[in-house]
Amino acid sequence: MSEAKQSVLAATGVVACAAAVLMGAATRSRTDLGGAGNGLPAYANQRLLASAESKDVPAADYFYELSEKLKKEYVEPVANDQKLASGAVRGMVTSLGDPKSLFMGKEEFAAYLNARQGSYEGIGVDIALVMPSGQKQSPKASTSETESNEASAEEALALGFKIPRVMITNVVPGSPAEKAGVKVGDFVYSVDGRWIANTSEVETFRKTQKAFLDKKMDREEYNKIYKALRKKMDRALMPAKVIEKLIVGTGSSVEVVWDRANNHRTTVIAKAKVDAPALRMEGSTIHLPFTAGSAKSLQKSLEGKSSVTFDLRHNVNGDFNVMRECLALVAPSGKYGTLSTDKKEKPSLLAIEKGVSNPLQITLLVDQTTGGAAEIFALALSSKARAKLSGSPMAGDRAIRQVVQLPDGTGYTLVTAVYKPEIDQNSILARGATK
Amino acid sequence: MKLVSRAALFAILVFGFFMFGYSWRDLQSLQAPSPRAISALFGVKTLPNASPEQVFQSNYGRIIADYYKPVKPNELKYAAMEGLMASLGDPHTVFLPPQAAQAFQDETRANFFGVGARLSQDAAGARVATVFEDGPAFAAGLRAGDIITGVNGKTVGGQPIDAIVDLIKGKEGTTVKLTVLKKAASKPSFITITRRRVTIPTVEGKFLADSGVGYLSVLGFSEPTALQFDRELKKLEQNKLKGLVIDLRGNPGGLLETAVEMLGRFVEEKLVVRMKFRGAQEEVAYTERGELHNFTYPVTVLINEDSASASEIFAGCLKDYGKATLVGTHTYGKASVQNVFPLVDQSSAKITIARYFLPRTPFFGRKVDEDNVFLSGGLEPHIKVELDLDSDPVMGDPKSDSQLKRAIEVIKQKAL
Repeated sequence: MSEAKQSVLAATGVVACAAAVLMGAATRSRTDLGGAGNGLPAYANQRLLASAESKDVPAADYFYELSEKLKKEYVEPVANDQKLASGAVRGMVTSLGDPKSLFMGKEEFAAYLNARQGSYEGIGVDIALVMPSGQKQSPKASTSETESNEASAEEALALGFKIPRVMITNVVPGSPAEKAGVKVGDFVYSVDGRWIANTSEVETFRKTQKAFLDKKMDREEYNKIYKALRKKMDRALMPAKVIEKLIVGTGSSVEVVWDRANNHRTTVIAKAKVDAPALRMEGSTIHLPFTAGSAKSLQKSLEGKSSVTFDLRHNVNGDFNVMRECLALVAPSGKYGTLSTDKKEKPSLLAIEKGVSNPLQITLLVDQTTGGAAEIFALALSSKARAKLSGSPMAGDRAIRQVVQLPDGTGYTLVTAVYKPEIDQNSILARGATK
Repeated sequence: MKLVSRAALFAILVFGFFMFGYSWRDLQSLQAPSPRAISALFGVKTLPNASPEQVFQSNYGRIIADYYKPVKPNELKYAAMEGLMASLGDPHTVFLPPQAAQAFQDETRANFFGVGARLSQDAAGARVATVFEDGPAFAAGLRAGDIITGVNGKTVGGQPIDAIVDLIKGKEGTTVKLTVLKKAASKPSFITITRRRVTIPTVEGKFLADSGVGYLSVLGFSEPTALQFDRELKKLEQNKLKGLVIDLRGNPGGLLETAVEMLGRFVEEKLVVRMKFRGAQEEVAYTERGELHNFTYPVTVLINEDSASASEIFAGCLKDYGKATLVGTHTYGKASVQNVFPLVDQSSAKITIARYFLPRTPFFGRKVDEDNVFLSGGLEPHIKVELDLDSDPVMGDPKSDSQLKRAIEVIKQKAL
């Protein structure tokens, strides 16, 4: 080999090696971001904890760096880093301050998913968080973490935040709750002796305090009230925790004090499994839950029918997509209202592309336990004069929720839109009747 | 043949360099690349959606894109970081977004520019309640009981106390002229004071003549606290003391060194605290030799749930070495050390880096449930007494302060 050739080879070798180093680093950058980002900057060039210039650090980098910092510095080894991701998601969901977008722990989320399929545990109810009218929720109030980031009941109340109340929206027929006389619209006042943070009670106390300061009340009386509140506050439960205590578990008992129109009633309820009725026919009435498989069963049940009554009661957490499939089985093609958001974007339509050609005569049985997907179903049909509503006013919940499960079994609901019917002139709604 | 082996050797060499490049990020921080990183290189999918970064990123994106209301990405990011830190279940490991981080810094510095006096409302202006002996106001001749009727020539009669304080405070090194009505004087006098950095005294002493007991309220553990403690103690000992009450209620703690120094008045060359860091690493603190004070009378210490950190170390050591009787309610249960790591965008991360252990008391770290309700932890007092709210208590007043009252009774019993 000539010397010239040798040196060319050597040079090529050096260049190849250098290129390999760079390629390796570049590959790593891509691998680390793997799926997590679309063209995000590489961490290597922008160490969050070093002195990078940029003030606007991408969220994924922030998450990565902070997790690494915790793993390195925290006094105990961080065993489960999936927990860090769930914690971050919990922080995000609760920061929305939306009583319908809720983060749930593992057990609670599993119970919620089962209930959506009609199989309940706990006391056998559906529960909603309800804001005291017209008030902003504490961004932390619906959660249940330690003091660090999420205000305790006392802090939230002291800051003047409104805390949502825990209300029963559905009592499953035959459930322990039904046997204990629980009714839709009941508020939970305390669970197992632990008071539930309650804005109105604190406001009442503030008035008492003012009366005392204005010398309209003596100290002894005031101290008595103050001490009583103090005692409650010391062991107060946050609303999200209450839901868990009521919907999770079988076999154990729970003591609940209910608030119905400011009258308190104490019950001890043994938790047990109870199944909500699946799709079934009673004469010409079809009880129609929007659970997986409902659409298929519905198709069979409708064969050869010209008129039908759907019972939409005890139906507050139906699956929106199942509802849409069912809608397509009973209604002709067309638009059935909009799914609108508060964002600057065109609302999408609730439309049916392949509907039925010979629509049936439909009557819908509804009441205050008709909510969510069921309420949207009822409004979609009645607003287009495709169905007659029978019963009493519905729950008033027209939110469409995404249900998201995280790898560690926790999960959350996220409101993605609110349904708005388009009201036809000849529909029943236009005439203002839901009776 | 020779060519083939050469080519192979070359390929291995190039691959070696490639791996070096690939691992550079880890090598920089003196670590081997993680198995996950290596397997990712060879196309092994580590469970779909399993990486925490991916879980975070996809849900972050989902909430911004799908939530029905507009979401501010930056606020969402900070909320996520708060949640991330909170997931450890340690109330002291927290994320501080820019604003909170700034407030925390200000709080830690805890000094303001003033003249070194505490004022209270008075019809004629402001009444001087206390003058700090280390401050410039004391040096200029201002004394407790004086009435300030004017600031820089303007009368302040009838103004709210906060407004008067704002007038008196100002930049370091500038002066303020006060019109002062002294107790005995019929005419007002003028006092000019140069404003400077004022450290608020952390120890206040009071001789309770009725019982003959000295009362020392320690509000925090800052640098001059040990000095102030000695000075106030010396003043109290000018009386014939039957006992001493050290009040640590509401004392949030402060510097460990100060607590150690003060414990040196009680015990010599004794273990104060053992700090355990990540990975069995330990640090210990001992009291000095030759700093002992001769306490010829019983000592009681008042504690409550707001006594934390250095307060707990101080009270806990006195308990462990049998030097004092603890009276009140259980303490907070801090028992851990945090470090604040500043982050790039003015936020910071406060992370628990160690736990500490007292000489004899078992670990007393606070445990709370998910709703932040106290479960266990904190130092237990020898004698449990709640503060009686019905008596309209003034802290440090032996008549209305039920815990202090009890502490004095304990001293009387011991003195018998």
